[in-house]
Amino acid sequence: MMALLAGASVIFGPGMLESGITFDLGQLVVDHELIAMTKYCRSGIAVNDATTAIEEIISAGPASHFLENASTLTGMRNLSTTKLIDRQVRESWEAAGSPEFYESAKQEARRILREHHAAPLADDVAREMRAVVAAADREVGVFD
Amino acid sequence: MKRGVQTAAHSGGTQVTVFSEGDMDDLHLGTLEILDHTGVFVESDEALDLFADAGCRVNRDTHIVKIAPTVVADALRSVRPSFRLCGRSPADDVLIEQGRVVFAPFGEGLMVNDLATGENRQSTKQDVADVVLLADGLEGLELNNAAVVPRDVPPDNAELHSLEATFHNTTKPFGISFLGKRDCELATKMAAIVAGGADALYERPLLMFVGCPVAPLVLPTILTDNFIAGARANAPIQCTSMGMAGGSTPVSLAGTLMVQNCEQMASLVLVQHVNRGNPYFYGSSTCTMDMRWGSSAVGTPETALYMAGTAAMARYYGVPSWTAGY
Repeated sequence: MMALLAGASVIFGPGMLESGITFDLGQLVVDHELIAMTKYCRSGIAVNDATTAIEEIISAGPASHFLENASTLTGMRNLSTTKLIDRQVRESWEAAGSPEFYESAKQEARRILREHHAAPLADDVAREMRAVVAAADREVGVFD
Repeated sequence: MKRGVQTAAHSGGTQVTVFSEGDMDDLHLGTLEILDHTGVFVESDEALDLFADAGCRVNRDTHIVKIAPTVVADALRSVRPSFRLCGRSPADDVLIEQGRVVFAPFGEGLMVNDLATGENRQSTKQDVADVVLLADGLEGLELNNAAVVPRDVPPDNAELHSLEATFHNTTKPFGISFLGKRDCELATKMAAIVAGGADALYERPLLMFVGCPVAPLVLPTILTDNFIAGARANAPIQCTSMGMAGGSTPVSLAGTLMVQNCEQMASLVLVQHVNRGNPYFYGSSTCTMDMRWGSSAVGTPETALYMAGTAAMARYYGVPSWTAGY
């Protein structure tokens, strides 16, 4: 967070445990969720005629609410959302099986590995590259 | 006496810029406009009288109090940029200052995760004692807080039991929100016994009175009772706005901070009228309404921004701030 606010160009480290000895796939998904939150903070607080909402506050008045305002309907799309951090109240969270953040993150890691596919290399590209690695292996005495 | 860690405005301190001067001027001037033309709803008749005395336009039928910019300016002139929070032991006093930060536990929860069994259950008076003792023993926490409500005592006296358990278990300063006039009077009586008399308590206030406006723009009786009692006792006051963006305040960050700022300025007018120069915290525990679940989403980037905005606005006014985190 501090590096981001200080204007770092790259921040690396997600997924790392034990000072870099161990990499944890679940932790990478946890950190990924935290990155979304810090990015949201970086966008700051916009102060302009629309956001200060003076006329809306005046017309709503004390002891009212803003649930039905058009600005709430459009503005809610700009609110932060979470994928894995559970924002439900305790009862609903328990009804959903009390999912722990880290456990949810590991499940999400498994799902992504199952469902996500990187664009494949062309067959001839893969063949040529394989040949380079195979030749290098033969040089050090490994034969496939 | 303890002082906080140096933060912004000290050489070597890390600082985050949230607003430009123009942004804060916009929020301030918008607040003056809303307070002058719309005003706030004040529930208690006693508080209405005090607002009228302070030069506000009070409608006793609608309970609306409209506050002119000059009245706000006058309250801001008398506010203290620094003050001392007194602990039972003077060595634990904490000086609250601009640009320095101290830490306090959360307050107040209704449930506790049992340390022995892990069970999530209703909190008791013993839990108040345990939590307060734990925080007393953690040196990184300069302040204490009655962090849970005792639910095994008569509900009308819950805060008095909480106060008793707290005095027993900490020598650090702490805050507590009382339930009304009777509660405030009895709590002050208890604190005077600990301090060694009413005069000693006035010189070294051992209580900090806490109140929360109800967004948007409502000062309920429980808040004004606490603030009036606190200001009369020369005790520090912590006013904690609790907007919920998209529900009780506009969905936008700036609009939510605008409503909060109106509530803060109205509360400040009351407190400074009762006792000019009374210590006051510009406080916030404002959050967002999660539109998927209808829950109040606290651990969000929006809350982080609200707290940064709160600190910035309080600095703009030269008033110490009280923000939520961790």
